[in-house]
Amino acid sequence: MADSEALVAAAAAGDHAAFDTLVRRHTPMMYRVALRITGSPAEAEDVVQEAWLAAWRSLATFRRESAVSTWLYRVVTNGALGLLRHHRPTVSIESVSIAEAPDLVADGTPERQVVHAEQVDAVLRAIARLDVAQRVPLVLRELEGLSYEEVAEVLEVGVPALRSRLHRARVALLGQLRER
Amino acid sequence: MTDEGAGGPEDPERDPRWDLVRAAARRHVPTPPGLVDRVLRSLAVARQGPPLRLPCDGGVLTVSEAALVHLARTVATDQAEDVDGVTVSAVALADGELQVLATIRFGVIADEAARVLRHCLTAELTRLLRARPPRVNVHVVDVRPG
Repeated sequence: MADSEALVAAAAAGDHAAFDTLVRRHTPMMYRVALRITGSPAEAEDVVQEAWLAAWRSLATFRRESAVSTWLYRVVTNGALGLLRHHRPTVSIESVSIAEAPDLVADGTPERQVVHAEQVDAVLRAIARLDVAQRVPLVLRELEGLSYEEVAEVLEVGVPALRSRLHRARVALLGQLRER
Repeated sequence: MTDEGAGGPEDPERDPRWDLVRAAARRHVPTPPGLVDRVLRSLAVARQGPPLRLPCDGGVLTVSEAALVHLARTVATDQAEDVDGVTVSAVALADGELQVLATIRFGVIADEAARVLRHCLTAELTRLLRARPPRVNVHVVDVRPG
């Protein structure tokens, strides 16, 4: 299976099939990030569609020193931020139902599993209520598992500034979880 | 370097509630059915671009960029077989002109090979389209050993 870097190089040379492979490979990540930032499945779909068009149009300017995944994280994050700038200031996660995504506790009773799933729902809602400036780095770092350096590159900020923002975001999130 | 406050009493990641954040990270987010197909369709439309308008006898022929490039690539590959030592690597439309990237065998005169391929491709496209095709440029981008 071709790696994403080779696919981008082929796509930049006019190979549509190579770009289509990137779309199939990375759309789940793009949607997940868009959903976690916007909180709306419909808006997340719009963001993903526009993000892929933006990525296709900017193929020629893709900087090879970035990983493809980092580039795509940046494209979809910027798309989601652009949408939020023109929309409401707060969002609510309504997308992931317990039935759809039961991250069940392996050794729990059914009741315990439902309670746990509800608690995770509450965490996602709390993240969605964070200020965008805190929510986005938190999503990328804590939910997507990017390194500090990768998040800093996606958001085009310095690592020290990012660490401060993340710390404030974690404190804010924990504050919300304690209020429950 | 550690996070601001990391390791101290204010470190949120040491709070037992933080396990729920880790659980949230593990939660699977299903991709909506058909989203990938919808993205691919949007891309296909975007790739078409606005149709090209080629002058022909009695009017104008409109043809999509994708169709013209596909035709040009097919014809160029076919024509190159008749030009000694030339193979076509890629064809694209840029700035309203067809750009043909070609590889020549070592020893072939690049300028002459490009001129012949340009002439043959233009003539064949004119014949097939019955319209004046965009200007054709042939770029020799590589030389392979004989």
